[in-house]
Parts: sequence; C-alpha cells; structure tokens
Amino acid sequence: MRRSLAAWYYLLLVVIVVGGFILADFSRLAPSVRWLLIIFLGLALVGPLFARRSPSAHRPFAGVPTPDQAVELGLLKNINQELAEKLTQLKARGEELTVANERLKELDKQKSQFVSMTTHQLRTPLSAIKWTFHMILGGELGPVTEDQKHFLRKGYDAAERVITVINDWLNLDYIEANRDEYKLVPVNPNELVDGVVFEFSDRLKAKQLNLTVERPQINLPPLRLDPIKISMVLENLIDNAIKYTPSAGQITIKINDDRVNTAERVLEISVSDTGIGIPAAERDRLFTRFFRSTNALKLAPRGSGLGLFIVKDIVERHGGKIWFESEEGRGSTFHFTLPFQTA
Amino acid sequence: MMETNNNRAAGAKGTILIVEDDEFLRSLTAKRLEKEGYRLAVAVDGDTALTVAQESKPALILLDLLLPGTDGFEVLRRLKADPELKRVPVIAFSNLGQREDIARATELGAADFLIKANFTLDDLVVKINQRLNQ
Repeated sequence: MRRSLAAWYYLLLVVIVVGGFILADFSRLAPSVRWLLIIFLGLALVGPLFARRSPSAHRPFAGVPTPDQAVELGLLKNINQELAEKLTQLKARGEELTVANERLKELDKQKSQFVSMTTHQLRTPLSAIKWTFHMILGGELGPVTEDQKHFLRKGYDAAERVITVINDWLNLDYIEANRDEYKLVPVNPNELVDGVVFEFSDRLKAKQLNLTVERPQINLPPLRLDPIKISMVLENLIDNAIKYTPSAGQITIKINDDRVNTAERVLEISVSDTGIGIPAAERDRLFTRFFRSTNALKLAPRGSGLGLFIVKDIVERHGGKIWFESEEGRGSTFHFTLPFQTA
Repeated sequence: MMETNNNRAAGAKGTILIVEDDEFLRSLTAKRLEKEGYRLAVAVDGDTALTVAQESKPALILLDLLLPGTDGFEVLRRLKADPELKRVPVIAFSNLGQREDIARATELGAADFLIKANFTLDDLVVKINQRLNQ
C-alpha cells in the first residue's frame, strides 16, 4: 500500500521536472544549470531502482505504524501475553502430571508386590489343604467311605479352584506390570511351540488326548517376539483345549506360513480342539475380562475368565490379531497372527 | 536348626534332602516320600541346607526358595559351586513361580521347577522317580 503511494509521488516529480524542461527554453540556460538539471533528471529516473532494493530503514516513515496497524499490534501483544501465561500454566500442569505419574507407577509397583506376596502366602496353606485332601482320598491315612470321598472331593476341587484363580491373578498382574516391557528377541517358532507342548505331556496323557503339530515344510527363520509372553498365549490356548475337550479327543496346533510372503507378512498359529465349543450367543464376549461361557462353567468350574483376556492383550501388543471359529459340541479353533519380523 | 534322619525307611532307594521351612508341608512331603521308599534328610532353613547336603550325600534335593536366612536361590548357587554336590539334581519346589523366578532357578542349575500348589505329592513322586531313573 505504502510502496505504491511512493511510486506515484516519484512519477509526479518526474512529470514536473520533464514538464519544466519542455516549458522552459532549455538552450537558453547557462551550461552549469543545464548540467545540474540533467543530473537531477538522471537521479530522479534511476533513484527508484535503488530505492526498491534498499532496506525499509531508507523509507523515513517505515517504523511508524498506521492506526490500523497499531490496533493489530496491540491485539498481537495481548495474544502473545496470553500465550506466555498459558505456556507457564501448561508447564506447571506438566510437572504436576509427571509427579502424579511417578506416584501411580510407585503404587502400581506396590500393588504388584502386594499381589505377589499375598498370593504366595495363600498358595502355601492351599498346598497343605490340597495335599491333605489328596492323601486322605488316596487312602494313605486309612480307609475312607464313598460318602466321605464325595465330600473330600468337593473340598479338593474348592482348593483347586482358588489355586487357579490365584494363578490367573498372578498372570494378569505379570502382564500388567510388564505392559511396556516387551523384550523382542529372535525365537524359532517351531522350538517355542515344541517347548510349550512338552509341558503338557502329562496332562494330555492323563486325559488320553492326542496332540499333533502341523508345521511348514521349509525351515522358518527366527522371529522377533517376546518368548515368555507368546509362551503364555500358547499355554492358555492349549490349557483351554485340554480343559474343554472330552477324553480321547484331538488337539491340533498348526503353524501356517501361507501369508508370510504376502503383503500382510504374518505367521499364523492356530490351536484346534474337538471340545464342547462356544455357544453362539456368547462369542462376542469371549475375550472380555472375567467372562466365562455357560458350558465352560459346567465342565470346568475352576478358572477366573482372565486367560483369553490376557492372550488377546499379548497378541495385540505384538502387533498381531486373534480370532476364533467354533461350533457348539464340535470344537473350536483359535487363530493368532504374529508380524513376520525376522531377526 | 538342623534335623537329619537318614534311616527313616528301610530298604531305601536313596536319600532325598527336603529343604522346607513350613513344618506341615515338610511332614506331608516326608510322609509321602518315605512311603515311596526313599531315605530322607531334612533342613528347615537355607543356612543349614548346605551342611545337611554335605553330610547326607543326597541323590536329589527338593529345595524351597523362600526360606528364613539364606534364600533358596543362594543355596542353589552354593550347591552348584560345590564340587561334590554340583551333580546332585535339585528340584526347586516352591510357591514362588513367576517366570523370572523360574528363569533364575533354571539359570542357577535347577533340574526342574515345581509350583507346590499346582502339583500333588503323587505328581512330585513321579517327577522325582523320572529324574532319578534318567
């Protein structure tokens, strides 16, 4: 705006000077005056070229704001002040939150220690109860009538139920306490599955269940995952398959590398059983905390309903997905994927 | 405190050292293992466990981990550092059982880790027999 005004002034000046030359008889002027006028005209014409390139300080009124600008400047100063105040408030809030966060972490740690100690303290007398019932039931302390055995079994099952709940609490606490501590290391998926399956040998034999592992033809390279946590996933899924499959049933673990070389780049592991299945109406609640399906409760009254919640949390924290198919009375298949990040 | 009894059962298969501070659990375990024909040695805290182990020359050690005084992990470390005892299989038998505990005991040389509440004494006998017959 101001720049275009200055240009108009210049143009006016040039017109006046040139007009003066034309009106006056140029040849009659003294040579010194003629030269002065030529220099003046030259400067008037060339001056703007330099003026445009010169910094604003060369313009005498550049530093003085117009009334409109003064208002804008005032507003900007106010906004700046408000921003500075907000920034101070935010910094203070940030410090408060840091302190609160530290306090929460400390409380969480104390909670974990409390859970760990309490559960340990509970497990010891529960072991004593369980062992005693078992010894009496086994006739090691003298003959027991069938009636007595019936009640002893109830007592034994009750102790087992509390032990299962405690174990699930401990697992959940472990998962929550180590929520941000995923130690991804190179693991051979075949070896991981074999290690977990081996732990179940006794239980599979006792229930006469057949477990087979189907694996890819090619040797899979090691994957980057947290072996302790993925073992927990497999343990939970195999434990459920054993619990909810009648004797002489079949459990199949499949390591599927079909999608390893696709855009998805995932390894899929599934655990299938020929068990009781999951009622259709209860399927969407299966992964929620403390949920247990009605038929599962009848077959295995023990359990806290935390297992699949933990499983889903671990799989998703690895960047994988979990889902299942089930037919009541025929069996269930749980699938989970792991991103194929090779070591 | 030290309590040893190497001749509780006649016709014994070998000596098993039970390191356990809880009196009732200790007596139940001892009763079951005696019935199985094992000789027994008993220590009720970590400090005496090593002395009893050196005296009784056990075929296997059943080791609780939370013990008064020296804890079971330290006992395990010292057992594995002892030239005469390092080959004796040690089964950690505890109600601790977080994954870190299991990993730590395994690294220190425990042959097995059993969480008491998750097993019956019959299961324990099976594990011991398996281990000693290997």
